[in-house]
Amino acid sequence: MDSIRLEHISKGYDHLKVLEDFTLDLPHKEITCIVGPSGCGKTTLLNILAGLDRQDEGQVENLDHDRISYVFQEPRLLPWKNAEDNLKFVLRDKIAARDLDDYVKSWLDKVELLPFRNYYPRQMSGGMMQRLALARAFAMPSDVLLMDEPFKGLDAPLRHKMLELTRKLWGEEKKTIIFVTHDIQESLLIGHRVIALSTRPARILDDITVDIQVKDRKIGCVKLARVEGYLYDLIEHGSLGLSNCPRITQIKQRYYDSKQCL
Amino acid sequence: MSKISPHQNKFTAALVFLGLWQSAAFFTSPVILPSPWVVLQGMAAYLVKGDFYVDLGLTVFRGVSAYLLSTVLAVVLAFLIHYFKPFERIFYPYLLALQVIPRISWILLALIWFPLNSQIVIFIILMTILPVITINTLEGLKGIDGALLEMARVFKIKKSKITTDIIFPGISAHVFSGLKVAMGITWKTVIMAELLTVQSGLGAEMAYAKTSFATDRILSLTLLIVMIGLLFQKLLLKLERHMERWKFNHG
Repeated sequence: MDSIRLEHISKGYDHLKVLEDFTLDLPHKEITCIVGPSGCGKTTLLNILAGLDRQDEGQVENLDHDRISYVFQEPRLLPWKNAEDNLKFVLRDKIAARDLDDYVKSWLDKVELLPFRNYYPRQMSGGMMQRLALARAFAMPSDVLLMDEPFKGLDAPLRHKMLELTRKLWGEEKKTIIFVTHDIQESLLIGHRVIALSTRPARILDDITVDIQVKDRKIGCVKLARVEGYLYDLIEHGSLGLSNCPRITQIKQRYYDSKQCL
Repeated sequence: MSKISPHQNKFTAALVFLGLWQSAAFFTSPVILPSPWVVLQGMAAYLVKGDFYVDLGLTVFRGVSAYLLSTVLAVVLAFLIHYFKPFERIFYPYLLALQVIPRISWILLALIWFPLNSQIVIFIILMTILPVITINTLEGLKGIDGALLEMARVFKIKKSKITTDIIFPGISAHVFSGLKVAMGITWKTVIMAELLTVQSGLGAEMAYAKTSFATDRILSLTLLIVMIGLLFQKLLLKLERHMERWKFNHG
């Protein structure tokens, strides 16, 4: 399958240019993380992919807008429906009626919410709600899953658990995941590939394949910390609007030289 | 010191009220203020009279049909105003104007426009409560969570399902708040309209009582109308609690 291609995308709001001549390939069945400073255009990029926003110029290729699911920053659950009905709301027209009950229950089970299937969102914790949102997105028959800083409001241990759960579900479903975050560590713990963006208009500072086994990706892992430090430096300078400056070239040169030495 | 239960509180308040009423009645003429006992006897007299139920039925029919008709029209109108800009431009200023038109103007106009039957009463109630429910529904529509609509768009949810599963529950609290206000206005208006226009219903019965200075009958009818109003208010609250049960569910 050809990868999803964003070609020469430009997008602005009034006089604010968020994306300008932005080109990116997103391979299928991989987790691609997009990291960058707040307000650099990451969410705009996802919204263009989701069809919620339209680009001013450029095109998106090899993407079926009807087969997309989304985990938003907030869970976006219907407060008047319980956990089970929140899933059914999205799945009813997509899964055969005779299979729906079992299908929904199996997904609630996967995210450990089966005992809470009658709970309304107001009775759930933030983590439970986000698990339900995760189940909804994975259970939806889609090829591409967009995730916009989905674990932003959660504490560190819970965030870590959610990343593991996402990785586990991805292992079962193999959806193409585009995961947007401003947390470099989060992107390195989950992604096959990490794309670092500069401040707006967003430009790609670097595109890294994370060649560390998932089981070795632990907080405190030296290899991970090195990449994290590099990306931090890169984004810090990129967020100053210095995406083409010699300092950025220097940081990249130093990182790739040291990588070769190891 | 032992605590007083809410039931005891209500009972004490009722006793104090009846005591004050009885005392005031003792020092005044029954034409000005009859005693609670006389009023109670008047109520009982109405309840055993066969004709009373015809009038009661007419009043309830007029009130309920005007209320239901207004609810449907108000919700449709609010949707049209909210989703179609030309409708908003045409109708919204009139809606605001409708709110301040005195009830008595509608009564006088209705007397000219309609024959003297239930239509006239239904029309007067409709014109009085329509803006109340419409404006509340509009507020609900303005407050619909855009994030939920966006989620529904991404997950390719059908428009009909968005309406029934997001928009209706989303506006429900505002609609009910309008319906509760409209409920009180409906019972006040139905009596006033019957009193001043048609020759039937509890309002007309009140008009007869007034012409013979039967204060006890006026008070008996007032109490009966209050009881009907409270009964319907209770039914409405039950319906609201059922529709918004997710707010009260504790797992």
